[in-house]
Amino acid sequence: MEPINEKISVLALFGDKEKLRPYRFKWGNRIFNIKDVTYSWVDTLGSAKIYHFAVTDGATVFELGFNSLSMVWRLERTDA
Amino acid sequence: MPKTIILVDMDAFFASVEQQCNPSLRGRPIGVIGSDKRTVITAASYEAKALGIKTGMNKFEAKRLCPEIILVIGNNRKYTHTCSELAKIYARYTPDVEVYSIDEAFLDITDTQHLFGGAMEIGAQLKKEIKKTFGINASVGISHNKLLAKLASDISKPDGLRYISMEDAPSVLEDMPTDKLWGIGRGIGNRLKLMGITTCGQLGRMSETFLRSHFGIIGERLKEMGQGIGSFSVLKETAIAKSIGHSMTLPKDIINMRDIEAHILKLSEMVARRGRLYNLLGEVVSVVIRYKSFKTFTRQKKINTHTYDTHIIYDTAIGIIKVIRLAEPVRLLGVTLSGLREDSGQMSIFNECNKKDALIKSMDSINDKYGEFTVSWASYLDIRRHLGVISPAWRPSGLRRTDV
Repeated sequence: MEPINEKISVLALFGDKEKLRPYRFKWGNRIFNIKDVTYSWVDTLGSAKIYHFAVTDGATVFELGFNSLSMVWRLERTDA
Repeated sequence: MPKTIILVDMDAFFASVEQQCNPSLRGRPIGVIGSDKRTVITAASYEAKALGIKTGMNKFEAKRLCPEIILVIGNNRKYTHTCSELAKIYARYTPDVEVYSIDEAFLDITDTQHLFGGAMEIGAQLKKEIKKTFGINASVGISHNKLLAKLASDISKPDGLRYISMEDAPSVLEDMPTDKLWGIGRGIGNRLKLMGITTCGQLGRMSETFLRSHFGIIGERLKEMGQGIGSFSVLKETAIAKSIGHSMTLPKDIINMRDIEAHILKLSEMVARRGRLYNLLGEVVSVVIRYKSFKTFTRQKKINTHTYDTHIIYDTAIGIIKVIRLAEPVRLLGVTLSGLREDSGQMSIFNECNKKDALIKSMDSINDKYGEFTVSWASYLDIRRHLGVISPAWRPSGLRRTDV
């Protein structure tokens, strides 16, 4: 997996059962539709919680991170 | 009333998590390593194990044995988060949970099993819930003590569920090799073999006197183990800590004193910060060093004060190292603070100490808000982001929960 660490725009749903789930994101000029969230985990950066998601569009695996304090999504890593 | 103990053991934990994260790794032989510069495999998938890959194997040896093996750099945060979430699942079935390691937990379900349809039903439910939540498999062993619950789990791996009842225990143990028992390592196992004792049945029938004459005080314990007698006390996380320690396998082996000093400063800061966080001062500093050859030793020194000051811990640790003539490059370093007592919050009469305390408190509050090592000592700027392997002492709650 290559580290990317770029801010990205994400379409996500804050739900009741699955608290937060990303569905689509834009990286550069491309839009990626998330087919599957394969794993998720949480850690902290100071007082911020970071929600991490391993996702796939069917061909490539990406790791996205949502900072609950700054409300910013980042593309953290990808195997592209 | 006999106890009912469950052991939940995650199958090839780190490797299974990585396979779950990346679908292209599923069904393939993978080995998890600590960093791209590290050579030791910390976990192997079942596909890799089937090809002879073992935990602790050098990656070059693994590649030779299995050229198709895929090496994946592990992410400790995934594993610690999963372990913490698993503890929440266990707590739905019983309050008596002992998280024994990052991938194993004992549950005492003696008083709660009737609420969930019995022990086997709880075991099956746990497996199902873990699979549904994380997509990974666990093996579950159930018995009336921890020794047999662990054995039940081990012999049912992977993805197993096994109950060893009191009545079944003698027949299960009769032909079971002694080294399958939790607590009998290769060393004791080999010594027993030399005496012609290869099975638990034989071990359980040996005389105490004979075993004590060969193994000292553990002789009696060995006989009990052969008979399937073991502890059933599930130890919950205790509030009283005896020590605070951090160790790290370095990104590469080092011999240069400057590099060692930088890592010792980082470790001292981690130890001191945890002391400050939990209001614990210590008076004994220990240093653990592991050479490239895996030879490991510890040295310690008592200081004349109780402290959680990074620099006092660092100076003491460096003082210990400087009298050792390093025989080989170092692969792991650790610093521990023990002889702990609670901080009574007494102010120093020396103004200089109070200034230093204020500086450390300011650093702590910045790091609390923005993350560890946002403000740190300049000497270890180059290494501050390196994350080590997960200590066997890591726990999902209390003093032993640390960022790894």
